[in-house]
Amino acid sequence: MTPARASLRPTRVSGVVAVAAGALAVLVAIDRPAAVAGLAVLLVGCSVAAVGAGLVGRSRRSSGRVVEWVGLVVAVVAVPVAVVASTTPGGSIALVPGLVGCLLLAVALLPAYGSGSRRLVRLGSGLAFAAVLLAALFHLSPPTRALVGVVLVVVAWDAGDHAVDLGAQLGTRARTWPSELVHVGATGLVGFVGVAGAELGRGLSVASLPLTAFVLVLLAVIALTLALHG
Amino acid sequence: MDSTVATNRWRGVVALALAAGALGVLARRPSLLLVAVPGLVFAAYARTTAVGPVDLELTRRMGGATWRPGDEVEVEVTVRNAGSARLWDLRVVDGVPPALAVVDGSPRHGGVLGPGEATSFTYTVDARLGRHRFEPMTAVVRDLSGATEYTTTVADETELVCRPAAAALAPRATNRDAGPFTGRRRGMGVEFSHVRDYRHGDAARRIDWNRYARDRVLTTVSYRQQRALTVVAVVDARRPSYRGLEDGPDAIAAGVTTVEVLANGLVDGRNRVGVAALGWPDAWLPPATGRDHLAAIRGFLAGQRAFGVTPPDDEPSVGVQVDRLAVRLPTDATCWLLSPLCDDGAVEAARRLEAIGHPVTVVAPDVTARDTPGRRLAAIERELRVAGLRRSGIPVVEWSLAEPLAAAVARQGEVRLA
Repeated sequence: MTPARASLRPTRVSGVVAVAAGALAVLVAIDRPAAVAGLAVLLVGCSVAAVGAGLVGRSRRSSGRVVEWVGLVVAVVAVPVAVVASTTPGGSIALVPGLVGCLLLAVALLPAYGSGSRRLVRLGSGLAFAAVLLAALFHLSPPTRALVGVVLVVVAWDAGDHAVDLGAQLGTRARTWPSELVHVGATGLVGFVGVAGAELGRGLSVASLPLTAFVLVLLAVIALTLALHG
Repeated sequence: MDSTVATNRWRGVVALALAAGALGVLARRPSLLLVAVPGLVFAAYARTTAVGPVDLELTRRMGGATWRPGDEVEVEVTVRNAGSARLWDLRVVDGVPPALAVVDGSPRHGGVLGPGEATSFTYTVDARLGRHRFEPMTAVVRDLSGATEYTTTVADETELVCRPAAAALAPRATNRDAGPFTGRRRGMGVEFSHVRDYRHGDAARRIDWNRYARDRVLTTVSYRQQRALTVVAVVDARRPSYRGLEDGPDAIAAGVTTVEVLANGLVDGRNRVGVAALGWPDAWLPPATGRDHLAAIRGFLAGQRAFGVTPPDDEPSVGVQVDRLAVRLPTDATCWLLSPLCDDGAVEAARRLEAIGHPVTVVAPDVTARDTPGRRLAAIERELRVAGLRRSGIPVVEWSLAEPLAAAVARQGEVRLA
């Protein structure tokens, strides 16, 4: 028997969760038909590319590469089409970083090239985060949705980073899904607590406070963060 | 090695959340300010989880003690959390012996492990000649948020022993005795020799009691004395012998495992077997016999640095080494020289031993390749050495490692399969 090569690609469970959470974050923040259609096409393209990459791994090199590239082209084309199809200018502006961010996340975690890229994961989730903030600025969704979107972006980054890290250490042949699910689940739970906390803050009608009070609150938040970082 | 480090992976998240809050202030959008709240919760989350020292126990099982070359050995690894804390993100990479290739499964594993819980995984390696010691397993434990990481190693003294199939190599007789197995001396034994008058001191069980009953004359039966052979296996562990095929066992490993197999066949026959190593003057196991000695040989081969993976630092010339060895050799000892014949020193050693009255049989595992001109040259040089030794009357068992040892022994004209 030939020696089994360790495949140190990003792990599958966390990778899929990361891309799904990223797409969901953009979807939650920009609830427009163009965003839904664009994300759907993008995800289909990425899935096809992932299948192609899987074929490459199973020694069906040329056909796998073709499938992979077809999927990637579909995913890339989805971005301008969705932006053009968007009816509101704010929607188009927020959609660009959102879709590109999701695409980068998928490319970073695709089981095809090297052992994934933490930098691309960071860049992708950063763009998705920007999309959520832009959507909130342009009033594309209610504040609660922006909060959920931000938490989902964090979940996407966390899962993506975890996938690359775990993949580099253990590879895709090792059984890792239990700890992956536990890790992602814990992050999601903490995010939920964060959203609940923020909602509670809104319930205390912080919104009616004057701006100076806000600044003070922000300073307090910074001080608390610094204290936590020790 | 055992250390906890901060991964700082949450730093960017907190920064972004605060930036969003600042944006909320600048844009006078209170709802954006609230985005900082989840960021703060994540910061607190990363801060509160941490991983301390981890206590792991490791056991490896292979469903067998010794293996043949080419066997696929399934290694079952069990990791137990002996500490009191739950390990949320445990990653282990088993220390597969460097010479072995994993052909199925993965020696890497991840999981969540509560206190006292155990997890196991299996992988399959291709067995190759030699004693392969497993290296310590590397374990990385992260806390739930991944903010801190603890790295440690867990050792379990496991060995995968792979020997060639049983083969017997009849030692050559010394000049002092003719006939390889039964000696001319009379006394105790099995084969009848002659009868003589009883002499005071003869053992009672050698008296011919039937004749005494008939004639009332005490006679003593003599048998041909069974001559025990003394064989010293000399493993050529000099620096030039640390060679191996591209992805195969090295010559020393093949020699060591061969000694085990050959000694097994001889000691059972009440012969005495000793072990020595060229290149390592301290490696010397005096010849003895019996089951205990067989165990001693195994322990000796497993424990000596001479039979490890690092060559000796410096060594005297072959002549000096053989002379030193000759001082230790019993006068009636015959030798097996286990050498890949990678240099002329091995030939000289064989000739010298032969010259001082210790008949030598050379067992030469073939570790030469023929894919480059240089390697082809080395292979031809080795063939010339084999031919030269045979011309001098020294039998050489040429063993290609791919075939069973017994087949290689059988192919030699002058060496019999006992």
